[in-house]
Amino acid sequence: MRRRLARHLVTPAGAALGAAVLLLLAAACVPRLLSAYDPLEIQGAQSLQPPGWAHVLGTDLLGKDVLTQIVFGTRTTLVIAAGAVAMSLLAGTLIGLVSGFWGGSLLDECLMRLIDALYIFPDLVLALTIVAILGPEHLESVVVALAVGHVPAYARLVRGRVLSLREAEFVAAARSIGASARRILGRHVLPQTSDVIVARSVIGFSGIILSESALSFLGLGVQPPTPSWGRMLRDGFQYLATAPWVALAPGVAIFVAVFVFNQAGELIRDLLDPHTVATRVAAPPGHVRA
Amino acid sequence: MTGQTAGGRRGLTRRGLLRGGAGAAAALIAAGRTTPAAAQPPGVLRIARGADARSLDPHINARLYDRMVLYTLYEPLIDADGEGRFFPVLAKSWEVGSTGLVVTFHLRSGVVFHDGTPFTADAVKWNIERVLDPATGSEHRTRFEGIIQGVQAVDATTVRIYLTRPYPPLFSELTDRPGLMVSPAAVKKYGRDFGRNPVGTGAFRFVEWIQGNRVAVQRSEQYWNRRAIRSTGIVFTDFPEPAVADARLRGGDLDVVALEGLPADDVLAFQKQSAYRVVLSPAYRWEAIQMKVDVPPFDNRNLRQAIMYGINREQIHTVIYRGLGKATGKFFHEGWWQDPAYNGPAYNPDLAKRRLRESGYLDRPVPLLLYVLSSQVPLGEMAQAQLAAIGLRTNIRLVSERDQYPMVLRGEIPFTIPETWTPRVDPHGLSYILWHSKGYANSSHYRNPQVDKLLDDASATYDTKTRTKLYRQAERLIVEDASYVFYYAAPDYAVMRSQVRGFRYGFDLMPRVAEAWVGD
Amino acid sequence: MWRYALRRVLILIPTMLVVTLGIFVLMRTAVKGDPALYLMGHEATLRQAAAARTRLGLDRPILVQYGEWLRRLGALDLGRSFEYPIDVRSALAGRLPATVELAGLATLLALAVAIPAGMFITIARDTPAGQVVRAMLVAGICVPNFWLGMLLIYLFSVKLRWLSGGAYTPLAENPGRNLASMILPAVSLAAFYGAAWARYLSSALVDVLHGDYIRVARAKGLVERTVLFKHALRNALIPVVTIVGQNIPFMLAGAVIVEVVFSLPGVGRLFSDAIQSRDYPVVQGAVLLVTAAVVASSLVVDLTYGMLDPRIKYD
Repeated sequence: MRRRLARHLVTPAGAALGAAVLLLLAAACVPRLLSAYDPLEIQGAQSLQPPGWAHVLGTDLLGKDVLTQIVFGTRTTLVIAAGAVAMSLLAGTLIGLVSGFWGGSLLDECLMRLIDALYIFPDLVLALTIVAILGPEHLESVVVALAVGHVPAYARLVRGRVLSLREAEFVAAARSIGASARRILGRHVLPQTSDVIVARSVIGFSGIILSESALSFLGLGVQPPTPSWGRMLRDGFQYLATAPWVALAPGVAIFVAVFVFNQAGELIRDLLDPHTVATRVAAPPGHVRA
Repeated sequence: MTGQTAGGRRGLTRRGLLRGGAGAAAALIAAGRTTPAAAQPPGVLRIARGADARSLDPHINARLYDRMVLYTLYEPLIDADGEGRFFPVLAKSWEVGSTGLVVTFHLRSGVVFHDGTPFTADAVKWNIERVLDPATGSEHRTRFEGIIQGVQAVDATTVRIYLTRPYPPLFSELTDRPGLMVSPAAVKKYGRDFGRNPVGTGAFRFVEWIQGNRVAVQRSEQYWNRRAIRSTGIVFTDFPEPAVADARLRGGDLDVVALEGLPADDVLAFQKQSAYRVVLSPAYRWEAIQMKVDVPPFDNRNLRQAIMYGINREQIHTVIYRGLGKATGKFFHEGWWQDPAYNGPAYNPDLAKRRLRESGYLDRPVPLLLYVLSSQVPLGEMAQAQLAAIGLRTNIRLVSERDQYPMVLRGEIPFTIPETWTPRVDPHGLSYILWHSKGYANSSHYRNPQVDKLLDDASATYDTKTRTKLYRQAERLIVEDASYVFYYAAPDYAVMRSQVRGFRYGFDLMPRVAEAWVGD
Repeated sequence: MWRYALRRVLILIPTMLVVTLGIFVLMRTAVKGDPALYLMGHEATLRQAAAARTRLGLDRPILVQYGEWLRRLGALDLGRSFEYPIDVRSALAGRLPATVELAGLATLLALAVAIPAGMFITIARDTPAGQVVRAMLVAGICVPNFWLGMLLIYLFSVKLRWLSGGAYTPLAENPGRNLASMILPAVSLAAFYGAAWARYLSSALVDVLHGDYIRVARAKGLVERTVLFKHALRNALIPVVTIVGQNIPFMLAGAVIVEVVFSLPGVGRLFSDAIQSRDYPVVQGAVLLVTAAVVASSLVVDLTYGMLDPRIKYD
């Protein structure tokens, strides 16, 4: 395992990926180190400056430095993505475990119908609806809206794994010595499913970053002045003809973040499961829901 | 794309023409397609608007901005020019009785609706009663209710409106949607579907409405003033994103872009190019920060005045609006009633800080929640920064275009930017509904007995001189009480190819495009 | 097989009931905002809004309203839009062409990219060209479609002025202009799927190429090209068809935002507008349409799968 990890990371691609992850994390944790400007300071005289020496990516309408905005937006993006991944992972795993362990029961049936109902919706449509219900003013409602759409994927993944493990010898053995369901699930079943969900959740990051930016683009994401890549894009769209950098630069940031997590997820999956073909068929890379 | 211009102006749709069924117009458009460019007859005018039509029934659910389309299909009895003077349309003349309680309109004769039914005094009576009837569900009912006592069709071309009290603003109301004349026969025929089968007396008749895309109209050959109309048809396409509309105009696929809220930078960019022309409306749309004055902390006049003096109007004007329009602290900017000697309060940080201290909120700060229109985020951030500079901390919540006004009206958002209104042709219109204690749109719950009296007195006389004096006094009181903090006023802008002629704005900031056409 | 199809549809009925009831109740209780007020704009008064609520039937108990909705659904009547003077069925029907065309064009474009690219990266796995194509596919997966749309507008409409971004022309009116107005949106929507399907096809190909019968074919001395095209591709396409079918409904989600960026009159924009203006009947109708599309496409996929691979039996 460790040797495999080393082998993957020592390649130039692996090193670049690692560096990119570090950069994203640095931007999220200590944005001030990476930017020369205050993200909130309005500089009327600097309004809509094209990229140049003073402002590498130009300035927006209020004269705020675009690069600074992007750096400060990293934290917003990563916090939301982490929250949504954690939440969907938790809910999905729980539903999957319960549903799979008592597979075929009425409980399983009900849970799966619920999952079907959620699965039917394209996640952006679902997120739009949920934000309309909860109101976009809280960060948490954005997180919930993005998380709900990803629950079915984990639930199904885990349920499938549990169903196949249920009849495995070690589970039968645990059962025969009278272990409780909670213990069997927690001690024996859950560890066996972790490899599927770890890889899936890293890839899930990239899907959620995409959805979050789409939500912000539609005006339903985090509220200003908290910097947000999607909203920068939206505000910049108005000036596309006269100041294209305002809209185009944050798109690159979204692209890079999605790319990094997508690739990291695939790397991890390759590490955990060397014969990846089977997993690939189960989930086309990057497709957030299938 | 641009090469297609030689092939003639983009015509109305084939499908639309079949449905419209007017052979003459079809022939004209077909001719337009084949004639060489030089001898090309004026063709179809292509206009971009900011949103899809909501309803083409002027009395029910039509959006404010649907008026550009409505005025090609329908006509009012009278309309107002850029200076706010009324001129005859379906009425040839009108007079106010000596008591001020009876208004008589003499109608143009020989006018027919697009469905062939005649336009008569009975139709006028029927239309006004339609707006007044609660069963119609017209949101404009409040504009006539309690004011119009009855309507009488004296003969085919004479109609009398009886009022409960002298009411000069009636003429202004009649130029807006409730005053547009629809065909009674068509309303009976289509029922609740009339909103997408509009029939009026206007210069253009309805062809098609592809929802979410466009409305097409074509010239009515029976129109009473047919000679004044040069375009064979008009296509209104909706472009929610200005960047997309701009690209189409540059690509030669549009003649006019008349989007509400066109980004100022775009307007400036087009102004520099000789191939395009920018037309400004004669009147102004004002913007303000609105506060609900019966809830703390906004019930504190000193706090409101701190905001009033703390807003740097010049900065907003130059940065957000790129120097277009004007930085201003008042709300009357047009017509005979505007006060040239008054410009409202100006930015004064020292005074703002003093007022804040006097308000008591400097020592015990309260977190203020400023609701910012989601399409105006930079404006909100700038206001936030300016208020922070005088020591007032605010947080921002975004509110969508559709949510903002309903939430203001229900008192759910007591502090919002921007609240914006377009002027009416009479000062009474807005000032009464917004600041009279009985005004239906007085969502800031503003109450000043002095203002009430001034507004009551001013709307009860037809004497313009007296009214001018009263309204100017009221304006100062309203501004200084700062339930609304005014900071900006701007005309609306339309960008068009320089060949477009005859495009004009009404006093209400709505383009009147019936007489517009593309010249050589 | 038909019995299988029927059973699948029957199982889905409770799911769809849950979905529609959920949306119905949530829209009317949890979503803030009074539809009556949204209609009237700045002329609204609270008293008029109350009257409008009665007119729209919103003052009745929610379950009564839902029962009424279901009853009408039986007659294929989806009710009437609050906002526009039109019934929901016509509103949806009017918006479908743009969305169907967008999704259809995007699917074709994506397949046109995916099949050759997927084969190429399988064959040319270790060559530099293969790596470059592989990297481009990853880029296609990671690029936000609305940003790609903006980029395309900026490049082709603003800078080059080759194509006009946005402003839809109906297909029946002028096919050429229609295509010109649809190509950029379709590309923005297709990028992700083209790339994802290509990689998917490549995985399936690798899988198949390791299969016994390919080894047999090779042993028979067949040329590599024949092996690839005649045997491997055919078999690898079966799972690809499945995933394409499963993905098409998800394109609708992408279509929402692409339609907004390009101002296309599709179902997606109708839906997002209707949610914002609390036009309950339209939201309800659009949701029903989306669920029906998902159900139908998964059914079609299942059945096609059976036809492509005779080994699969439905009981």
